[in-house]
Amino acid sequence: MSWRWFRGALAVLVVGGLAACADTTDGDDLPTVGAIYGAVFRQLDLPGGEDGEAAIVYVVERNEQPLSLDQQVEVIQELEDDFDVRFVDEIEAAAEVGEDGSIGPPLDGSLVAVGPAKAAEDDDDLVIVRAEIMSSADVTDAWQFSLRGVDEVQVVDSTETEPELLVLTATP
Amino acid sequence: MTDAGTDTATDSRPAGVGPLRRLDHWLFGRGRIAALTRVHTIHSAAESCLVISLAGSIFFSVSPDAARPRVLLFLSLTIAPFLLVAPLLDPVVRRLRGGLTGTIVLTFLVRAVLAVAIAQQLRTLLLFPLVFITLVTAKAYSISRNAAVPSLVDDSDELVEANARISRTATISGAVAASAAVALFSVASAQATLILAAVIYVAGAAVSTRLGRIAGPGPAGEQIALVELDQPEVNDAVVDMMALRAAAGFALFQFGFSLRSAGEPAWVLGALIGGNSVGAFIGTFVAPWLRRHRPERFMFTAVLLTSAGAATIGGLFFGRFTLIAAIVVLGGCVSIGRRALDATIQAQAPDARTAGVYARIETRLELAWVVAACVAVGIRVASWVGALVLAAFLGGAAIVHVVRTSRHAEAATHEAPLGARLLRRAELLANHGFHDEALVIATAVADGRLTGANDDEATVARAARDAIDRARNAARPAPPP
Repeated sequence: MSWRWFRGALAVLVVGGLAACADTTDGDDLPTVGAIYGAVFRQLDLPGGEDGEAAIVYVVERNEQPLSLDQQVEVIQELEDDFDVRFVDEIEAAAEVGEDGSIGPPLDGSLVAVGPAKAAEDDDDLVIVRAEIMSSADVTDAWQFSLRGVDEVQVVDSTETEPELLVLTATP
Repeated sequence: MTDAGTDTATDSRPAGVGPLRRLDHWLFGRGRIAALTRVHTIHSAAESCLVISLAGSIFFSVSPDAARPRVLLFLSLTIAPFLLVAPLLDPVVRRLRGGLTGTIVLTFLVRAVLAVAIAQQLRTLLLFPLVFITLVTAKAYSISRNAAVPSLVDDSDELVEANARISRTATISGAVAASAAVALFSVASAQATLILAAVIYVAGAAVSTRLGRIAGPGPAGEQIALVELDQPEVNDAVVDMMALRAAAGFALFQFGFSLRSAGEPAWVLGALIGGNSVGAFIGTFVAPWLRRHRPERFMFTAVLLTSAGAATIGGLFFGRFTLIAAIVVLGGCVSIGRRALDATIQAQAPDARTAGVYARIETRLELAWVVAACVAVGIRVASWVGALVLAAFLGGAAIVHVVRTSRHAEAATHEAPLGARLLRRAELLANHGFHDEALVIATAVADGRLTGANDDEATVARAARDAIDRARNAARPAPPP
């Protein structure tokens, strides 16, 4: 094995590794993703766990720009005391699929989707975020929350809206 | 520290031994190899605890797609030590005080520390680098352990049986430890399971010291081993085994990710890992039977075709049961392939019982595993597609195997001239740093033209290359006038 070949292979690995590590970061003005999820989860009034164990919450990643690994870990750690947060790539990975093809919430926890956080157009300190929860078979509740604060984030307003994230896209 | 003599004295007691001693012999064997079998049995138990504990880690909380780039990064980084270690392992092992024993003890201790560190970082991002350092040390242990086996068997004819026994006993201890680990995980925590793993690793380090010094032969013996190993039969067997190891690495990571993406429960993944062990266990019984009836070459043909067939069925008729069945078959085929490789080396290269030479083969096998694992993480396909990719790879490997072995069989009927064979030997020795010997052989081929004495190693290496080139030119038939 020649040294030149080894150096070439190592260079490819380093470049590949750096590319793989490149994460998207939030803007400086927005609160951390952990703080946003914390505020939203408290507002959703999710059911608690049984026998003193944290309640399982499946979070479906259906955004164009999904959370990076670091952000997911931040959310998990932020909510660890109350919830056992488990991120999944597809609704079917967590939802209960009936024999007739109907989709229902998981038997062992809740199914939630949270959209990307955006600054409000008329107020830079206000953050708008969509959150949805599958409450029963083929029924999903969706809200648009307005959040304020950077370190301690509070929901200041909520509006019920049409579900978008927890809707199965039709496949041919 | 127990030496070989103590074990031999114990084992040479008259017949009529009790059932416990018979069980001990069946599980661990006799002589110096028994100590290594015990070491690997302990390692396997600790490994089971470590794997079970990861069920409580952040791996199972983040989404598979988010984890892919990081896993790929660390798997790629796992390749680097192999590229670095492969050429250096031999001299390092030779110079390291305690040789392979020292390496094995060191890997046990490092893994004990890593198990404690993982217990602290189960729910943080630090888990990723820690687990992949664990993977690197696992591979280093695997290379060292496999490289030590030929030096510890009393007779090279025992190599196949010794490796089969080590694998069989380790599977039993792994299964028993896994049951205990699951129970501990349920009643206590993942951290408790990791602490248990650390304690077992420390015990393993203590037991490893009883292996004594596993010394390799001098450079002269190594040259013979190198020449013996550079035969078509041995090379073919190594390539076939690399394909099987690659298939195992691909399967673990492909199904680990795709099953999680599909929302399959953790027990399915556990069943796959268990199925692989069951297959390996069955393989240790099937391999000796197969070897009694068929040559090693056929064993490789059979396992490559069988595993390709099983993966095809697993992909076309995809379901939990068919996939688990395919993995059981793959585990068995990898196990049988390993026995076939050992048998080939045993038959074709009886002098290759040196740590360094064997370690190079092991390094290639582990490298194949890691590269295939990288491919599995890199491609994002459903489980049934992954099974078909696996089938295509194994089918391709089977075709290459059949073509290559039949070509070699044909070539064997037309033996190469002596000059060409000597040149090949000179080249092989030069490639492995034995420049003086290469120089002598090559100049002998070139009709005794000597290059003269040389001072430093680089000059000798250059002179050896020049001599090989000159010898090759001299051996070429003269052009027609």
